[in-house]
Amino acid sequence: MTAESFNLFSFKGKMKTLHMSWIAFFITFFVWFNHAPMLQAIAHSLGLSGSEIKTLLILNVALTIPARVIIGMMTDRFGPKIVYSGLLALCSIPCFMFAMADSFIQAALARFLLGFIGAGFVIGIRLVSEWFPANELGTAEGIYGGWGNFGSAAAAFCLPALALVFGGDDGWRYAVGLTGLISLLFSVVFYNNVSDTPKGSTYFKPKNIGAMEVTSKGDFFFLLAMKVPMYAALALLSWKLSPAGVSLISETVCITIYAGLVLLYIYEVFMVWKVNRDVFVKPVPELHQYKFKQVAVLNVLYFATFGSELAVISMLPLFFADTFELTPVVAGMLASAYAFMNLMSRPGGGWLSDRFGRKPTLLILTAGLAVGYLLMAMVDSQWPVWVAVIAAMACSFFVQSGEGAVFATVPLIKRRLTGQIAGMTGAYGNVGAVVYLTVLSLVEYQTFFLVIAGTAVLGFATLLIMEEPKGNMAEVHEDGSIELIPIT
Amino acid sequence: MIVTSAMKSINSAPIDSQYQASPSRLKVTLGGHSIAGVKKRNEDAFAAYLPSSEGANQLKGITACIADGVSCSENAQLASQTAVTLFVDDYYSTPESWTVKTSAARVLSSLNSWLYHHGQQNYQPQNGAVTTFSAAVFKSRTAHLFHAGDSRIYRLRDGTLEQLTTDHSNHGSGGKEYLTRALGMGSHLEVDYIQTELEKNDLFLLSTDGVHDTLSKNELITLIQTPNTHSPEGTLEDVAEKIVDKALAKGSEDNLSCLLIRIEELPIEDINELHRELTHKTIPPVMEPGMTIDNYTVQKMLYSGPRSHLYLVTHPDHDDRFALKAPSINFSEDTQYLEGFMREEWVGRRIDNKGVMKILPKDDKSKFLYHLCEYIEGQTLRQWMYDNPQPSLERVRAISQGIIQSLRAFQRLGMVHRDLKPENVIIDENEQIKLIDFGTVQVGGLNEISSLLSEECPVGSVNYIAPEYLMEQRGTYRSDLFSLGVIVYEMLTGKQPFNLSNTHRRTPKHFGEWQYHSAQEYRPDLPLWLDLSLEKATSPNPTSRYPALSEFYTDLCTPNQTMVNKREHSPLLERDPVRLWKMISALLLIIVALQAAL
Repeated sequence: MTAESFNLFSFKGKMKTLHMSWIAFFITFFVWFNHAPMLQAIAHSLGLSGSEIKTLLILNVALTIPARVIIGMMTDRFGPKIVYSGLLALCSIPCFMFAMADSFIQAALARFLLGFIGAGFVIGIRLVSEWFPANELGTAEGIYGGWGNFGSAAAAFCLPALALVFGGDDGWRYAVGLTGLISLLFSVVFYNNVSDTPKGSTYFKPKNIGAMEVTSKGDFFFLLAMKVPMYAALALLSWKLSPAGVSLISETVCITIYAGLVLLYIYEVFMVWKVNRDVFVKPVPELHQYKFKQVAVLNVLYFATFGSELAVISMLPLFFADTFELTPVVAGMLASAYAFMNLMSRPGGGWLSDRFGRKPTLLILTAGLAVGYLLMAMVDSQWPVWVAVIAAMACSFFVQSGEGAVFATVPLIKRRLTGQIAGMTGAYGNVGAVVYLTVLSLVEYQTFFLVIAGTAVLGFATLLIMEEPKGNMAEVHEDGSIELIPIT
Repeated sequence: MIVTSAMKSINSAPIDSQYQASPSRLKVTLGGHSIAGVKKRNEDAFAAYLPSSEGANQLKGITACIADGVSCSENAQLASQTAVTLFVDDYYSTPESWTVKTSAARVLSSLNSWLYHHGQQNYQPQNGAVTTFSAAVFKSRTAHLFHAGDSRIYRLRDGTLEQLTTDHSNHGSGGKEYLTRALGMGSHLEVDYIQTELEKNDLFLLSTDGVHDTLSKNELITLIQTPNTHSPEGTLEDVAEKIVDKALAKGSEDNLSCLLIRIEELPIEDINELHRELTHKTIPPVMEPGMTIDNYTVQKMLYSGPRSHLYLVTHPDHDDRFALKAPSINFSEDTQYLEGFMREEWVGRRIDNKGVMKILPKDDKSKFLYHLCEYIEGQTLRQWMYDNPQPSLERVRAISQGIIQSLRAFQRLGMVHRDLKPENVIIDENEQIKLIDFGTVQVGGLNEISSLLSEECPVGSVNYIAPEYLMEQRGTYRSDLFSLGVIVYEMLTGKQPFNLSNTHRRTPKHFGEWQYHSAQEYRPDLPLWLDLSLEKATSPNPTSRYPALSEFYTDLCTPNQTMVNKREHSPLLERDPVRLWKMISALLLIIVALQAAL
């Protein structure tokens, strides 16, 4: 009897599950951002204006916010295998739709529906957590998240070239269609090769999928307040689409959406109350108490890190092409440098916070993030291109290490609620993307980067109220013996 | 005149370790008094025992009993004395894992036979060794009462005295009362069993008819509640004496005895305190070869999973190698899991059977949470299945027999394994079967210790869990039989008898969701009788399964002709519903086709 080791080159058991998961996640990102590097060609062949292009970018990330909730519930109900395969297969449809779109409206609808594929992240996190022991989970999820996110870099890197190979004005259509085909084919591979749990696995506690748990009265209202931005982001989007913005939807539809959002929020308040009404009756046992402010800080940080990453990878190819007057292929390749860092930075962030503590790591990374985006804001056509690329890479290092460090902290807040905390934190990343892209649609590139830098500073400030989470109480000595550290 | 001492000091628990280091336990004070009264001899007896060890207090509880020998016989005194002393002695000798009810029932039934046969030996029926008997066992937050005859158990709570037992007597001619039930009266005994929740300051009164036939309830209440004039801080023994004296003064013509027990403190009530207990030991970090913990050096990681880690370790003072099992940090706040982990050690220390992995004693002062187990060199049954995809019936039978023998060790101690699966069955080098993993073992005697924790989700493993667990019924040894049936089926066919992929996300509504797939579908060479025995063992409804493990084993070895005949003569709907519906559908298709053609 020997334990199965963590060997990246193995393709059996848990490692096979990990490989299948990150590839699936990779493909979701590949599809989700297949438009970014070819925006110029798309704009040209569909005759889109600048503001319409930016609208497409926002629409692409909008549906992800509610989709995460739906996908989370479906994963609880049907298991990761079916849901991931289903998501990959179903989302190939809007992908083909986009490839065949003839007008802005069609493209917008396709992009809006494609927002669904962005919710794939949660499925894999669940799957990986059922296969790996606690000590390997951080690394496994780092590989899953980091390598999967790399999908957008892969898209930026190879799709413009592919479009050229197919050639002509419709080259981008074939390239986009191909990503849909890959997604469809891989859904079958995934279904045939993955099982939800290892053999002989045990039962899990039913997860409280209705709403997040809090453990004090104050935190109850804090949670309700922290839910508002998610609805506000969607409201912002409808405003953007209304006659006040790009006039994609009518005034009436817009007002209906507002009303719907208010109703949904009321429903959410009700659910939160249903799950947490006990806190008003009797105190929560000490063992189960935690401070919600810890979650709120991580939410804000993920808003700034993952939110800005999604926004930046959507616009960076266009930004490079516009600023330095490059061909789409070169712009795409240069822009992919940003997401390329994912391979190392995201797992690296987790490693750093293990080594130097959660809070110091987060403080330094967030400060770096602010500086990085300030630098990006100063990029103009006078700069040598390679310096701009290095600035983007430096910036992305802080962004992605920050993401890694945020998710390294999540399990330490309250182990029992890790899933819920991760879910809410992830959702904030998407809220960030919608907000930043809406900002982008209103202002110039420079201001856009300044706004991100500003939120990073805000994140830094909120970090100061976070308490260093209590880690392991046991310590391994130099000679390999394990002893307890007295906690003061 | 015999009065058994109110405090006994026997130490019967073989391993005197606590189940949980509870900071507070059930505490009672007690006192009794017994006199012959106007009669010549005292044929009453009482006994009580407060275990001196925490473990016995928690697991077996505190006992108090009273008996009134039936005075028509010479043997009355012997009967009542024997009953109370033997009951207390023998009760504490029963396994700690048994429930109070099981333990008391076994003790009383042997006590009854002994008294009955002793009485018979005198060749004079009227001279039997017959006695009334009322006992109370206080365990955790519950009083378990056992009662036969006309002695009584009362409870005084909030100023109300309530008689908890019912007298087993009839009015005879001339106003005389005749006992209808008593110990030693017949070879078969029926004992009333009553369970009642305890509250702090409850006072239990056990009395014989000399007391309760003379004094009214109100008089008893007054006697208990008025403080003594000479000593206001009077002990319960003083109160008992007062009651007895009063009854005698009031003209009681019988022996007079009473025993009082007051509940001073109930065990642990604060969930925070319980949580601190469960989490006061630290879960060790994941270790690598070469690291040491409490002087045990890790040689190799044997298993590492989302729930636990298993290491091969050595110790400088021992030649043997051990297996060290530590929980996964994932469960540092999961009190249900932690409780299970502690129970695992408790169980492993108590089962001494070559078919069950032993858990060895370790330094109780360790700050870490882990078990030290015997190291078993061998493979899991899962690995064996991979290595032997088409095993002979002979080998499957040998393994099944091994598992059954191991399961019997659990059954004898009133335990249900609840998580039997190929991963938890080890086949060692000598082909000996060993069961491992007792984290979810259900122990009758432990279930009675009221816990503030409840099991929030079914324990056991997907595909091997008995349906009744999912339907939220309590498990019995028949639940282990179900899991065994699934394992035997899987050994033979490599497949599962049921196709239920989603049960760990959704609770099945009824037993009908388990549809047995004939093993012959996967291995046509298997005989029908074997398939039928597997179907019976894995029957979703526990009442349809084999009543005993041995019957299953017998049917694995020799054809059960009755079952085969029944199947062969049963309608097609029962034998092969799928085929029947296929045939009906085909028929309908032909009819429809014909209609369309015409």
